[in-house]
Amino acid sequence: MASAAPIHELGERSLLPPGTTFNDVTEAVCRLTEEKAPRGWWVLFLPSVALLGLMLSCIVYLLSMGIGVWGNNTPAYWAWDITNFVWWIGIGHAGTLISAILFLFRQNWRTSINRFAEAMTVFAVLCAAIFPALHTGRPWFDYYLAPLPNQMGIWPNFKSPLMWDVFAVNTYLTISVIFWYVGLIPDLATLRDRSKTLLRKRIYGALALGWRGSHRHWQHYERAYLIFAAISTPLVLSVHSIVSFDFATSVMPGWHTTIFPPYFVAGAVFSGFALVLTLMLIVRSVFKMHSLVTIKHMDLMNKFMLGTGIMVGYAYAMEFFIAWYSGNPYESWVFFHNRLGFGYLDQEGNWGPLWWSYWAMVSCNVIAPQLFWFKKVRTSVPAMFVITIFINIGMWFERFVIIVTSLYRDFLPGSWGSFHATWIDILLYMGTFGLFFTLFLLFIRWVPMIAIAEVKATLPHAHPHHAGDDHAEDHPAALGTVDAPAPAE
Amino acid sequence: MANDDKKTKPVKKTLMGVAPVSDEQADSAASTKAAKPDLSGATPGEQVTQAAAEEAAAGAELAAAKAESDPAERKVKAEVAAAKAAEAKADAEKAAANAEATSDDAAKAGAGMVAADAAKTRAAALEEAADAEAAVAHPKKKGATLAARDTATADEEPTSRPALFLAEYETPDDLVHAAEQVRDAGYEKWDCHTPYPVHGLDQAMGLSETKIGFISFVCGMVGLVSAVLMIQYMNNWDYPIIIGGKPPGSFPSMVPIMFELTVLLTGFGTLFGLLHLARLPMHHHPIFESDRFEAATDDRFFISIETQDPKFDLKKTRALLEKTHPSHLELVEEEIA
Amino acid sequence: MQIFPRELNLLPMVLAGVGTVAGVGLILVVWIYFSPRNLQVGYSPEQPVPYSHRLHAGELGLDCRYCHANVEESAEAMIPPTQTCMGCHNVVRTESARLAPIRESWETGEAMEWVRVHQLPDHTYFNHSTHLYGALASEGPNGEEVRVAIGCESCHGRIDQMEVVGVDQPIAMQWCLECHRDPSEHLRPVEEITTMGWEPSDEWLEHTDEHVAAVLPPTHCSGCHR
Repeated sequence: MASAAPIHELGERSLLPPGTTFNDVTEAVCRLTEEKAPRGWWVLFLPSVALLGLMLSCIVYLLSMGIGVWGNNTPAYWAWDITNFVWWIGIGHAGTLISAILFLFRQNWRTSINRFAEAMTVFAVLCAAIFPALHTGRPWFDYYLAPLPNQMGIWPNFKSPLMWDVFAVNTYLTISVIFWYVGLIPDLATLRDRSKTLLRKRIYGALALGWRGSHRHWQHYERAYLIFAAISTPLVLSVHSIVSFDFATSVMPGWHTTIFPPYFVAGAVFSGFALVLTLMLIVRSVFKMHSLVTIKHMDLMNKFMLGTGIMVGYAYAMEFFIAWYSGNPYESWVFFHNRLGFGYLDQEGNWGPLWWSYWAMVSCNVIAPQLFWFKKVRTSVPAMFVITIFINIGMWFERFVIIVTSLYRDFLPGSWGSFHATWIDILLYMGTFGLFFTLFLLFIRWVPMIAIAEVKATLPHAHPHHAGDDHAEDHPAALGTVDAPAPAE
Repeated sequence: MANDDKKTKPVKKTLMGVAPVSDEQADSAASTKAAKPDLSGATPGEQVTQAAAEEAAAGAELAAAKAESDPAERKVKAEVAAAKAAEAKADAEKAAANAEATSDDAAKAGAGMVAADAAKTRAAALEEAADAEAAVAHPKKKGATLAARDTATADEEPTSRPALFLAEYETPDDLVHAAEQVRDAGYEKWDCHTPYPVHGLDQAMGLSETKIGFISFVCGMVGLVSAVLMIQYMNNWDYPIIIGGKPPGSFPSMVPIMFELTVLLTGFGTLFGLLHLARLPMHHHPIFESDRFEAATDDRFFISIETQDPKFDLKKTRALLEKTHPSHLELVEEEIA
Repeated sequence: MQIFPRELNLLPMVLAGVGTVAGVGLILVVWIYFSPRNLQVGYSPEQPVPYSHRLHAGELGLDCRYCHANVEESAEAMIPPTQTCMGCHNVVRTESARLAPIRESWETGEAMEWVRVHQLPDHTYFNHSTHLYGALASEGPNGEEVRVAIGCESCHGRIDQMEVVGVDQPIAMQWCLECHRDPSEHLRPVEEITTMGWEPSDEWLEHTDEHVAAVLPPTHCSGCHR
């Protein structure tokens, strides 16, 4: 604890309205899983299941035909599959950032959104994993990636960044699931104790592992949570760094860049926050959770997006500077011809044919978030909804630009080509939204989507005030009005 | 969201502080009956006079209003038992007096109170009454206290035994104060139950530092070392292949995997360390016998003291907990396996 | 409300026990059952004609190369054509009922459909001639030229004792690698490649290092996967 005033200002206190009781929190969160699903939920759920079916059909088709049904071919061997993989992995990063990094910085406002974001991480990483798994061409041999003794007497090549990626993504998925589940245990116990039917009680009870709120458990639990936060923080930074190594350790102009790790991590957080917010806005209005997730939360998240958006913009600019400053014509070719579209023309005097993807990326990722400088925009739900959608699109284009525009016009005339997505590229990508949203909607329907115990612990009256140590909250002034309650919309 | 939590709570819970003659209280208080043999052989089968029981029934209008069929039955049972125990009138009066005294405090705290102990002699006499019901006292008319007691007799072996005392508190402050007293009384097998981790409770309970960090660290180091050994064995010793002109055992390319495995095993160590230290999963626990305990994951704070504690004594422990002004106190029983 | 029976508290122990047993069991099943030693060794399909290698290569002492001609010079060992059979069997056992399919093949010109016993996957490039042709080692004890090669029996076993030919060795990458890493046990003079039951002399063993140096089998990927 021992929190100093500046941290208070940053939002150590919960952003909930004053006078919120513990029971209010329990009620507000649990009712979502106990009442009948609102119509909006079904409106979202049924199309999601349909999309999930589409994804499964696409996978069956792809497995039966081979990955030639994708548009990847010489010279763009990596295209939508890896774009989608990196995009989904990036989406996942916001969850860990919110649950772990903001935890370490004692940003207690996170408690209203962290469970939500953690779930998103898990589902996004699952969606991401589909693409490289299929891209191996024979997914039933994917177990070769694991260091298992085998009749071939061979081992994975640990010098390969792709191998690092396997370890990073699987570790990330595993740790995210564990972190998420450990956080869920006390809240599952809450649901168990509120359940009216024996079956429901037993299901939640089984998952809650017999949690009884014992402080002897809380003591270990809190430390465990801290450890998870402490290991997840470098983990989340490492995952996207390692994903960027897939590119950066190669010798492709456009990929072979030392700024990739921080650039990728900033982009991941950027896109992750955007999707968290997009979903949060939908869920909040469907489930009427305006008192738990306030405009103040949104405002803070928008500031994050503004910050990471500027970092990403800086990285874009830096790549051009390096291309020019290095004097490497191949590097310049990729950036000016393949991406920017002008400055370097081909023999027929044309721009690189995929120039529009670069400009789509810049407009969505750099220009759009600049609107968040204005508080009016940051606190306007329709405005931020539109901007976050733009950011989601822009970040997809960023990966597309990095991957395809580096490959499609290579050193040799013989490896000049372009990339055209096939319908299975498109449908499979859409289908992963089905997987994501199906899992996500099931999650918000059956699992407490807000960390009940954590929110309770941030309420002003949550902790005894008599304790001899000089806690800041000993002074009444520090208590109530640190963060003014957000106006309900 | 309604700020008034009463609105959303079950009626039973809402009335808790007002009319303690409720089903579960009677049940829980009943647990006094079968004491452990090592507790000086005294079965504190607590008694009350018929008069007291009648007065309780007559006076507690509020209680009667909400009492459904079961409490009514209990009243009858109490009368029968009381008649049987008529000779113990003097003792019971004493007990009633005790109850009054404690309940005054409780009334001050604005909560109903469980009270009254039976005289040891009387208890011994009724030792065979394995199913003895316990006493419930409640404030009536400006703090006037009555003790209502049910006593039933049964010839069979007891099917349940006391497992723990469960004291309920309304606020974290009350809980921490109470925890300090229980800690100072020297109990070991006791616990606080809260809906969220309450700060300062570690000290109030006198808990020592958790060892989970050590477990995590050891597991993390195992991960680190196993990553190095694995990579060196697989890529440098068992099947060295030179790829990209890099020596098979080169260090820099090991770093990402070393890091990932360290994190992975730290995570596993923390998860399983947590489950081990907390002895979870434990799906069955006597504390779940209490229906009131369900509020422990909502907005109530509990202290439990187990009968397994060497210092546990039905009377003394009860007295200690009463002194901490719980909003409710009960003796939770568990089935004998 | 107590929602689970007391026995459920044993769950962690039970899970740990079951998990350990299941895990060890799974490893053993894969290790023992799904090994090439179990799945490949001993595969001896029935052939259209019950040709006995024991009789021909063992008792009659035919050299392997009488039928599998050019095995030292080509990648494939070659399955002999009907003509090779008829070379003898138009004068030997001409009326044998068991040879009827051979005679029929001879008359109709339809090839015999022998069942293949040893089949390597397509992504593996195996060349019989590199193993059999012989690598030039240093000079022998009497100053003559010494060429070292691998004998048939190293991979195919004692063909001269097989009534029906079957797989003798676990033909899997790990097994190939063992020899490629240390071929010393399997090297023999090129003159002896078809000899069954050849034993090296002490004199031969003294030169093992030279022999290995002459062969130097590859263990890099493109040695076999081209």
